[in-house]
Amino acid sequence: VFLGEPGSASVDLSKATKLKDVLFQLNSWSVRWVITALQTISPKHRDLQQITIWLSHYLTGTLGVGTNIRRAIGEVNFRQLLDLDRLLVQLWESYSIRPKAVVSTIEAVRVEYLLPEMTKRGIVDFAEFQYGSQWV
Amino acid sequence: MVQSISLTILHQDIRRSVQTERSGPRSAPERTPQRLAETTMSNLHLPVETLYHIVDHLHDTKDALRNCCLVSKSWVPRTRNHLFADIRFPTVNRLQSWKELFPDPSTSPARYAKTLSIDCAATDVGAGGWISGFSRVVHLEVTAHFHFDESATPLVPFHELSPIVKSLRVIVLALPSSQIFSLIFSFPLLEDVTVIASYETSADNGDGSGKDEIPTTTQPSSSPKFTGSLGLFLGGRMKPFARRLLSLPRGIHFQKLTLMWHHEEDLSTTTALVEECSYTLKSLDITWNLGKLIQYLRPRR
Repeated sequence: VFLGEPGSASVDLSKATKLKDVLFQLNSWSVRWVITALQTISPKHRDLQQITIWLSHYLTGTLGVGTNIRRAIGEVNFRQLLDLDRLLVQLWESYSIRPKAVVSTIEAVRVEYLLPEMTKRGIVDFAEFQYGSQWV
Repeated sequence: MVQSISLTILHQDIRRSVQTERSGPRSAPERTPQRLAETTMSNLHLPVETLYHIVDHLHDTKDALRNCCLVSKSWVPRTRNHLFADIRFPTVNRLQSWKELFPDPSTSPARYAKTLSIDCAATDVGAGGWISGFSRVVHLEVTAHFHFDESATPLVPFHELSPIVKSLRVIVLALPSSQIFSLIFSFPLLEDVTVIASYETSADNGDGSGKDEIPTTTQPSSSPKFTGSLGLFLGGRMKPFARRLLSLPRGIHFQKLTLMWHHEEDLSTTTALVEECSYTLKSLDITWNLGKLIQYLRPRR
């Protein structure tokens, strides 16, 4: 199975204006495709109430205490994460779409470095991560 | 609230009655509460709606339901509706036990099953005609977590299992997608579909030129409306599978999409599915690069 990094490809949500909730489950630090997808959301998405970013334990589990996060996930990926953080807050403030980040309780303490704006606003939920739970 | 308390009391009376009957005859006909319950139950002529209400109230209490079966023959059918609502055969041995217990499909309690879950690890899973009894199944889960010969058709016995199947979940290690679609199209009222496959679901190479491609003439003229949820968790590319859904004459109208991708082209496929369902889609879950696939695909016990 080829597990490549996505290039500029993404998902276009512009026509799905009946959406109520969207969840992105991340198993890689490369989040550009998520940012691009979220940028297709417009005021036409009147029903959209929540956008959830689920950071897999397999990602955050590598960020132990004392780890240099910026170095561990890479400068480019780190900046993308900050962009995603800002975009989610912007969607909340502009369209009242509630952002939510789900992170394993084990790594909760590190989230403030990954999603600082969301953490500051208290819109990060901590959960026991059940791998593939949405399929069961 | 009052109704709930009354039912609870009656439930306790029933259990006492059953225990009383099991403990044998009493020496003196005392009018103790237990004796009163026994007398009441032995002459009980409940309106059928009340009986149904009592049994339905106990739907999630297996022990109580088993006791209900012992109260009276008239209680048995309604009770079996719940006792046999969810049948799971996670192993060949369990299935074999079922076949031995209920050799005649026409009289087996299979007709009460609303959910059937089976791991068809055996190639002769359909042998004995036991499947025909499950004619009222609404939710079907078939796991073919096994390497079959190229000629094997492990899903065929489940075709047209029940005309009212609304939810289908197929978990396969590797099977041609044409087999999966044949199963899907055999259920006219299907609303929810989940396909989990460890490897490529077909010999198709992703560009439509593969040998597994279903010729246009074999596409069904009428397909389910697909108004519920679609889950695709494929080890291979999503495109060959999604293309068949996108080419259905009646279209797809899912309200929820749960999609996993790991090839870049899967994102354009996701967009195509999203756009096709744009009038109905309310919930979208996208997972990228979900590793540990085999761990997840372990059959549940």
